[in-house]
Amino acid sequence: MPWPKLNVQATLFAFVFAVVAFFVLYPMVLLIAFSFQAGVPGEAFHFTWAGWHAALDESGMLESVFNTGRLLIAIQGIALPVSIVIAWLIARTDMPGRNWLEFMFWIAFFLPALSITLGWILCLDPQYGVFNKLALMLPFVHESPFNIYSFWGVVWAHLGTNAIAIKVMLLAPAFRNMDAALEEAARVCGANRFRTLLRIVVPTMTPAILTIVLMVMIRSMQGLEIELVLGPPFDFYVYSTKIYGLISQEPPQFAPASALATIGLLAILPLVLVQRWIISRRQYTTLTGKVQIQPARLGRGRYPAFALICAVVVLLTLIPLGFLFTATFMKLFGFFDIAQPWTFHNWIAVITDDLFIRSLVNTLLMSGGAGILAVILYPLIAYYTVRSAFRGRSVLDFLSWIPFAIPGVLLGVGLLYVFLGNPVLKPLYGTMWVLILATVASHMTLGTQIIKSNMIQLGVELEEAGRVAGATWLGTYRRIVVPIIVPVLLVVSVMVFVTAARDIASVALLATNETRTLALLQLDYMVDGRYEYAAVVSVVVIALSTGVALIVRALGLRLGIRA
Amino acid sequence: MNGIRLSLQGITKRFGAARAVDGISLDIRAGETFSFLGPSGCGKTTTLRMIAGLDVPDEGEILLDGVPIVSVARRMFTQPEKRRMGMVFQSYAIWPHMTVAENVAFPLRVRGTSRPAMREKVRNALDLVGLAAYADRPAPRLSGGQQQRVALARALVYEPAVLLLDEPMSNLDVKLREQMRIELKLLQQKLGLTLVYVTHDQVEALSLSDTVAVMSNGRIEQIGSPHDLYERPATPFVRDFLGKSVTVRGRVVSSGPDGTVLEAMEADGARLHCHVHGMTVGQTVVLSIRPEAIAVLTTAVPSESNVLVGTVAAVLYQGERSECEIRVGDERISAYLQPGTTVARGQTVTVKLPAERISVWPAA
Repeated sequence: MPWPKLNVQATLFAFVFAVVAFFVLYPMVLLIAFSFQAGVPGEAFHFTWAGWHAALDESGMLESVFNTGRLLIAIQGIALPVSIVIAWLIARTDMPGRNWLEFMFWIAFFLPALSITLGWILCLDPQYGVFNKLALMLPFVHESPFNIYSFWGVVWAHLGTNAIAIKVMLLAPAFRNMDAALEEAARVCGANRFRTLLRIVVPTMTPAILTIVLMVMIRSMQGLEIELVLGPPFDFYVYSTKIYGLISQEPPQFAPASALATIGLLAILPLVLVQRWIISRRQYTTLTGKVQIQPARLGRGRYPAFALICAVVVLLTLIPLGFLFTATFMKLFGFFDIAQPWTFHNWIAVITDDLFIRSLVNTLLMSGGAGILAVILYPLIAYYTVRSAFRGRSVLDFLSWIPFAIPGVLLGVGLLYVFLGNPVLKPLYGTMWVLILATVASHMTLGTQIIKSNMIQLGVELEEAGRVAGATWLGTYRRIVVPIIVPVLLVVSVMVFVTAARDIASVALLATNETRTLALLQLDYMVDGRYEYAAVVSVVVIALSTGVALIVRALGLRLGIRA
Repeated sequence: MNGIRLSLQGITKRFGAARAVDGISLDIRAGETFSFLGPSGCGKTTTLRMIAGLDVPDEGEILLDGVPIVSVARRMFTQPEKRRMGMVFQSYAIWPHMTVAENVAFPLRVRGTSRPAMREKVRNALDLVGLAAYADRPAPRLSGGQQQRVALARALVYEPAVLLLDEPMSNLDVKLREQMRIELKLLQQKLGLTLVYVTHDQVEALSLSDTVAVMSNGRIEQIGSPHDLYERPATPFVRDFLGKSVTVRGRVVSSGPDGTVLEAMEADGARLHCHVHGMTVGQTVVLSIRPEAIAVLTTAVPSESNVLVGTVAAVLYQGERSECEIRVGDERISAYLQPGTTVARGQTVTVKLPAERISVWPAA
């Protein structure tokens, strides 16, 4: 509606736009500016190209970019088809135990990458990994068959932590919402289940799938924790660890790191444009209020399917968790052969530490605050980019992609500049608010994308009916749009909570001793070589995340579309 | 005498360079059923949406009971929620996260109606559409016909000034459609509603409406009562869109006070009288007549006027009557058989075209 100009919707849009621009765009501007800075941030500004020269001359740069690409192809080449099949089995067939399995994938997504990687190290380390030790006991095996410090080890760690679980979690709701009539039409035409999946379900789900694929492609440039731990032993570097390396040098090389980040930003640009183009091209409304949930029958494939997915779940969760848990009770991480290897000492030492308690409280505050703020802000962003006719919405959409493209470390640096340089915000530095705002900013992309891919499927007529029935725009948003997407909002809220709890990259530079979180505590222990203590903190973080996920899941099952 | 409830003046809507709605002006009287009829893309839904406030016109004004609700010239726009209209969408737009009762109660809730009053109005609305027993059913568990009724109840519960319906029957099966048509008509008479209806189904438009506006390419071809539109179409588009027409090419032979004599050029030169004046001798025209006006006779009728002789090309049984296609020379004439009459393919028959039912059109 062009007029009247001043109304609730337009004002709210302007506010949301301003907030996003300030916490997302402004740090980036500062970041790019600082790539040309001769000195350290905080000093007077002297222009120089030195940073750029250093960045491009940096040894192994090309190779790290190549590695990033190789990893992407290997991981997604396996993860995407696997996830599509799993999501389809869970959401649209009568596979037994599918609700329970979906829940397990939820859990799998929440497990912190660093912790799970730790668990797999215990299994697959070439020297003391348990699987290797077991294999060596076989008569025909003379060498450790598994080596996690390798390209395929890194791929395995990614598959086992994020790559599959996140896609299943994102695809399953979208699959579920699809109008069953589309599938049924294909079945009637003679296509068997698999054909239908391939030719009807997948193409219809294309915008949802593409949105996710694009997201993950961009995300791959970010991978920090896994490569940080597994890479150095075999001289394997990726784009993000290169940047991290530059900042964690003594003295930190801010300018070259900022220059590299700028290059990354430019590389993302075409991907974002492609995604926008895809969404604008076709009508993909598949949720019009006529929801049909009719599972496809698997027949004799039911139990084999169940067994297969079960195996996947076990690999993703029980095995690494089991070994992690075991490690907390060991005197020396990985050594089963010493006298009296088991002990409770690790637990007692960590939990009674004041440091631990403070970190726990901080984590709860940060994650909780971020989770709440996120579900207020993100749906508004999603709505404005998908639904409204405001001219700024393409810009807003692009802005919401930026946090994803930037390695968390650099977003943290950018936000540091923002807080320290602004007299209004400076007092907030050293409080939890910095961490909360940084978390909400850095998780914006995934959260908004998830909500967007659900909102796309919501028929416009559902809102129009509300307007004609007498509700204002805000009334329609509150009473119709939000309640329908509540299940998605819960997913996003939990995701933000959990990823915040284990986040290291964005908060490392913004946290002080007072505001340290559990994840940073874990990292500190690992850096000090105290793996057993690190494992204890890991388990606590995991328990926290899982507990929250369980509560929200219980709540979520009672809201949303009742069928 | 009914006052004017809704008035459209010079309404135009452009999408890019194309004019989806081009200068529409019309009046809708209080208590009548007014239909917009036309093929897909003719602009009827866009017009309805502008009445509802879901689209904004580029030119023109819309007035409700004499008060402008949108005026481009005066930069006035009343938001949809303030227009006091009810609307039934083509997809029904039933909110899936609510029950039937909650769906129907929504308009009352946003108006701050008290709980007891709300309960009663919802119950009355559901009674009107026969869904009182379904009040607590979650919306996704309704059939198409039930969803449509919920949409109707929801649109009526706050006693709107005007009820807008956007092809509400197109997703229903034929039997249900017939049933809903009658129910809607009865409802409208009972409540004295002003109905604005959009459809591409001419049977629906003709049977339900007091006034029909036939639209094509954003413009109104003709407005009138169903009877007028059917019997006296003003343009070839209206003539061909409503019902069937049998057309025969002809040339004017002679004209006199009784009418004109035409020669059916491709029907073996047979002579046909009609009661239309004002043509010049030698002019080529198109004769048009409704197939139901044509009589098919199996016995030869000697020396009667307006009679053609032909052979049966095909017979289509349709239950309540049979349609047959008769070849006369190079012309093909569709006509209906009297119940009880049977003809065989290849049989020679006589068709009689009553002079008073023939209309004449310029040759295209």
